[in-house]
Amino acid sequence: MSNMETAMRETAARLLTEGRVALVLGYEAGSVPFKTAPTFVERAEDVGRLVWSPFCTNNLAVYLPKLKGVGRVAIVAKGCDARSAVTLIQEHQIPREQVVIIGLHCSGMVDVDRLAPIDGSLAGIFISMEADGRLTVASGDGRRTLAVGEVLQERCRVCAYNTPAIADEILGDPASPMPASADPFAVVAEMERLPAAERQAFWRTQVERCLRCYACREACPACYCRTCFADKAAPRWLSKANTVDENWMFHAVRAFHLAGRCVECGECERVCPMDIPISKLNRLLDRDVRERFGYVAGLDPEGVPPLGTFRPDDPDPGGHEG
Amino acid sequence: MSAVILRKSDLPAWARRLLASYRVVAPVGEGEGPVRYQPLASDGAVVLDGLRPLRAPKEHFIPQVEPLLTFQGSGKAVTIEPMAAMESATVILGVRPCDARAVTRLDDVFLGRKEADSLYEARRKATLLVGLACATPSWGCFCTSVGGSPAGTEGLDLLLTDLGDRYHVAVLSGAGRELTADPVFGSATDADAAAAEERHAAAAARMPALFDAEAVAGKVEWEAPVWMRHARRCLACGACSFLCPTCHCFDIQDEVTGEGGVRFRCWDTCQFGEFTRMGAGHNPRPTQTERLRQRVSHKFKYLVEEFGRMGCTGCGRCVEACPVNIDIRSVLREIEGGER
Repeated sequence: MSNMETAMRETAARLLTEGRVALVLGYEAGSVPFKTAPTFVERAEDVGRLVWSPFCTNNLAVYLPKLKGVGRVAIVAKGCDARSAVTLIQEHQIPREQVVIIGLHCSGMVDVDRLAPIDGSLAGIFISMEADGRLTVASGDGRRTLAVGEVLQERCRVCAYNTPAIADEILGDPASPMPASADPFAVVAEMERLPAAERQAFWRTQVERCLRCYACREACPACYCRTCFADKAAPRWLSKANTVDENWMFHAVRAFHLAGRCVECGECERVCPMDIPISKLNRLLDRDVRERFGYVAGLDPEGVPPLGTFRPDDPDPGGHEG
Repeated sequence: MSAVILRKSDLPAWARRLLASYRVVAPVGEGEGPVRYQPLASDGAVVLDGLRPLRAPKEHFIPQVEPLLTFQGSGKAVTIEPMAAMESATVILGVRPCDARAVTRLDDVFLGRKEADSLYEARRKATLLVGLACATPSWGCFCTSVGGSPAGTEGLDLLLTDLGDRYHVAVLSGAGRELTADPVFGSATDADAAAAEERHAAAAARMPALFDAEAVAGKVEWEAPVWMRHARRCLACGACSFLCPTCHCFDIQDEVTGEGGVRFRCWDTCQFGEFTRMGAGHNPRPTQTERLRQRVSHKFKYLVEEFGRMGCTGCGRCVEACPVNIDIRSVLREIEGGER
């Protein structure tokens, strides 16, 4: 058990025992060694369920709006999850005083696909954490020991916020910055080098296989609309027929709705069963919002998201200038 | 049961010859995207290596979107044109045993009741299934726990087993025999049969049964904490159902353009809140707890009661696709163990 895990359980137990929170949102061991599962701990004697590992990939902030009515909730939060919590606070989805953020210094999450042995199957593999933080993966092919940094998820490789921006308590050693320095907007630049027709062809190929299962939307803490435009029956904005055009409409509108709100936690892309590179769209809008409004989502609970406000002296109020 | 041999190097030639008489659907790779069952082009390459494809060939029996009729006119002068049930003869190549077995479960639902679904029936009768024995289980696989096998033959016309440089081809039906009436097929020796058996046993050995699904059916209860325990973290997406080779529920929509329109059906899932929401707003399955109970009970209890066999073939796609690690194997083990 890591120090971080011990500290997390102690903190959770204290918060529950002191009655400061009704519930702790965290991670428990999953059904296989390379998965964890979101869990809801309500009694101090159950904190032993909580785990912390480079497999705690879910953004738990997605549950915060759903837990209204439970009372004050503590959330185990990586840097990205804390940014999502900030966004929810800004947008009045959860009152700041109703959430206790247990921030964790994060060194990145594992891209499970990168652990697969030569036959491509993760069936029956065993994973253990070494004292130095490295992973040992045992499969029919033998054992490999590797550093988490070698098998990071793409979003973690470019993460600049692995220390939670806000937290009521913060656990662990300040994480070493990610192997980082990787440019988060390189994917955007790469796409922009393509002529418009090729970009369109690229996206049409990608969204053609969209099943409209809405896993992207449901895993997204910022997608909390009570009725998504995609589900509206009257008027029906989006056909339930999953044609390329309708699928593209869904992904494009979702991306616009997330402009200046998406914290690049990458959950939408991770959960997509059809491997659609959704975050390429979100990155584009993130870059545009940064460049045009000088704003980065999810860092300041008092901050005002640029697309969530109106200024009378806006140089372009409600339409095109001139 | 007889068997023949197909050299791997002859597979493309055979597939091309099939194309002269059939529409051929096979796992094909497209760029960086996942391998999918798609109509094979004359220059297309069939991908028979690796793990089972991300999506089952279900969509070739129940397309995600399927027009039922078109209508035109206004007032009382409306003409309705039902879609003709016409399908061209099709061969699906590389079907995994779990997915072929799943088609027989779709048969239960679409053909096994008082009225057959005419669109499904036409498509089903025009389709032959050429299977591929699984050599390597994926991490979510559990076919052996629900009465299946990585080399199962249920629903198949032929079963290919990879023997390195060639396929052992078990002939499982008269229609399958006709498919092998081609000079590329050679005769199989006893040694080939033994080698195929060996591969089958090796694959099965990698996936011991995790629970007794027959026992589960009798223990599925309406009120049980197991539902909430797993459903609490459910995000209400449809990844499990849409990847499932036996989930078959659909919605029906009318879309009108001007004075005409189309009525189509499209996949739907009991995991969506909308699925049972009524016009006036009431929802008899108000939370994910009732929805998860529905999905599991439908497969392991209701279909068993109706058709005598369960609606799950252990392909494990739901296990792997779930964003929050709701693992149906854990749910079933808890039910079997009486953990409620």
